Amino acid sequence: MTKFWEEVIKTMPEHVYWEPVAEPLYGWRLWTRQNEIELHPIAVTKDVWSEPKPFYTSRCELYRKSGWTHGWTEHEAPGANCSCGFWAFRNEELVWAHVGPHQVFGLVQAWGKIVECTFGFRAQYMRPVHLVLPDFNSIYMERIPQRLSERYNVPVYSRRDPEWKTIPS
Amino acid sequence: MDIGIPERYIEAPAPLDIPTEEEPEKVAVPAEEELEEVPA
Repeated sequence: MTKFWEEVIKTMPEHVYWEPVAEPLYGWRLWTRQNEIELHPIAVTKDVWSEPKPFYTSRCELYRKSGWTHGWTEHEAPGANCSCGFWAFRNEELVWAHVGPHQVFGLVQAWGKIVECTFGFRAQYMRPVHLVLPDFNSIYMERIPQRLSERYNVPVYSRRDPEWKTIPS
Repeated sequence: MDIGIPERYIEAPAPLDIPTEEEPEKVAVPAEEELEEVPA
């Protein structure tokens, strides 16, 4: 086996030590909004967010498309040597810097296996804690916050509402 | 969108209100007095 493949194998999930931590992680995630009140991922991953669920489980779809880049086999998400898993930023400043038109962002709670990165993380399990609509005051947004809140069973805030930065203790 | 490069691999517990294991399916067992006697 070549040195290259030995290095690749070291970063495969079964060879990584997942350090136990005491509590779930909070982070900030971006979605696009389709059909007014459906959340969809902004990346090319399979849609899992459009239907409301108590929590969401990440599965790697990338290995099928380009398996050679991260271990060539099916693996549990987040793969240590992959880019799979549910992405989130570490703090609200970072997520706000990335928000685009017709997007929604929100506080999320993550657990299971998590790859902590420089500006955020990739997680195995995730659920939204609350959502923030940047263009909340638009005339076209009438009733959307309420419908979004009812669909995902979480509070929906305007960005002008200071409560959106609150992280539950 | 960029979250940077991996720095640490952790495993976090589920929030307390999330069930960690699926509950076994409950099978209704009729009470003894509800069982009908079958004629011989």
